[in-house]
Amino acid sequence: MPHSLLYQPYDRDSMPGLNAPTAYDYVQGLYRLLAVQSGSTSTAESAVKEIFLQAFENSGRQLERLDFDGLFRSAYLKRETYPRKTNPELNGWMRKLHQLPEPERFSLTMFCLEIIPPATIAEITGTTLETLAERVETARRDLN
Amino acid sequence: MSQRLLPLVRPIYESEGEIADAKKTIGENPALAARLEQQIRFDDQIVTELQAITLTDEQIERLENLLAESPNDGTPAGTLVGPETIEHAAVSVPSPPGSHPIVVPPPAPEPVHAPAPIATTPTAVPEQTALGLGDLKKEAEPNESKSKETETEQPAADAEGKQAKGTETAAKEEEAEKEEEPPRARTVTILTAVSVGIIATIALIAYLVWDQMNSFNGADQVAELLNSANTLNGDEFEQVSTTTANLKDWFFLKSDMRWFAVPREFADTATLGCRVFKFKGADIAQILAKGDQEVLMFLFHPADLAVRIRKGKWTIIEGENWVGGVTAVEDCCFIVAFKGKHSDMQAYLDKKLKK
Repeated sequence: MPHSLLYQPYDRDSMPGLNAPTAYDYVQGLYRLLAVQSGSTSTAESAVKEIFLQAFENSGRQLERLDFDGLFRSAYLKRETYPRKTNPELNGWMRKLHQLPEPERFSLTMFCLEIIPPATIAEITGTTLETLAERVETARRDLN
Repeated sequence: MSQRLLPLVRPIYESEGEIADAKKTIGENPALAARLEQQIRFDDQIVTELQAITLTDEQIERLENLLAESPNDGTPAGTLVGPETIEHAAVSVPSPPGSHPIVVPPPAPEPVHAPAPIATTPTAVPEQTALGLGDLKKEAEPNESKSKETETEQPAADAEGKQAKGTETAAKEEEAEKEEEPPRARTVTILTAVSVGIIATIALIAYLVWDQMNSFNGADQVAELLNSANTLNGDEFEQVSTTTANLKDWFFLKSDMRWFAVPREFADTATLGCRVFKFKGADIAQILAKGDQEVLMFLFHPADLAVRIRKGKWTIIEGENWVGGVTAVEDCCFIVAFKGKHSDMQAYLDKKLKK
């Protein structure tokens, strides 16, 4: 059964740092990003399916060839699809993150997801590390 | 420059190229270090809340099922099959330009004795390996740091390369051995099959010989003759009170049976009645006798019923109700019969022949 093969509990303590994020980590990270972007967990789940399946098809249905960083690139390209809501389903910091403007919202969320390094986040957003640092800092200020 | 990257410093990113340099610089400045500490505490809150949002097991399973379903042919996608297909060594898979190489580790339950993948250069593309989401690991080291690390790790990489070559050679030898195995297996199979065939043939021949030794030509005629006794009621016989040895004249007078003879073991058996009847055109002498028990005796010329039996050799034939002990005496086929089974006749003959 695919589920038993694919799902393995994620243990952050056993895999610290960025050395070994798994496909599972990427899917969960994508879900969290989309939840922040859309302000809805159900919308995020649908979007995860759409983006992941598209990437899977693009990889020739070979999971090991899938462009995992490209998952976040797709989410970034669709960032305008999810306008900021005044009353999102989210609470706390997630709600505040959702209400940040783009690209600050994407930048800080990706930074805090700790899946891909800042250099890759900068590459996805088409900017430099310094600009990314400014955006992250701006986002922090807005949250406060 | 380094200080401007302060917003991007976090423990998890501290080994990332320029951020590592920024961390060093900030560490030398107490004010910046304090600011960084505050920033990390702030980010920790967001990180914790982000990690609280998680796809459930059921949601992950639904996604996996979608992956497993192939829209083209309705069969499961090649990458998402059973766990037996993922028992191979870790592989390094190249990612598109600008992204990071994906390292596919061997599954935890079945450790593979293969060299750990060196994922610093996304080059070799091994065979496609069937994997699940949980089995994929992706190395997320930045591209910028790769070149430096490649330089410093070159000697180690060489050593590992040699080790890898050695392992590869060993693997090739194993493969070669495995390739040699099928002919040996075929030989063993062929020899086994031939042996079984020979044994079966010998067994069949032995059975035929045994069957032949325990039978004779015309045995079926004798069985039919025995069955003819099923309808007897005793009235068919002429009362003759003598011994079987003395009946030669009686039968000669009745039907010109010059060949009449009885085994000496039955010569003294007292007779109760005799008759001659036709069976398939042959004259059959029949005697109702009573020795240890009441028996019927059949005597005929073997040629008349196409019976060929060795003289002096007793063979037991079973009819529907009757069982007969058959032998040949001179030119006469002699049968002693009673209602019973093969074992009864065997015991009777054993006892009779011992006397």
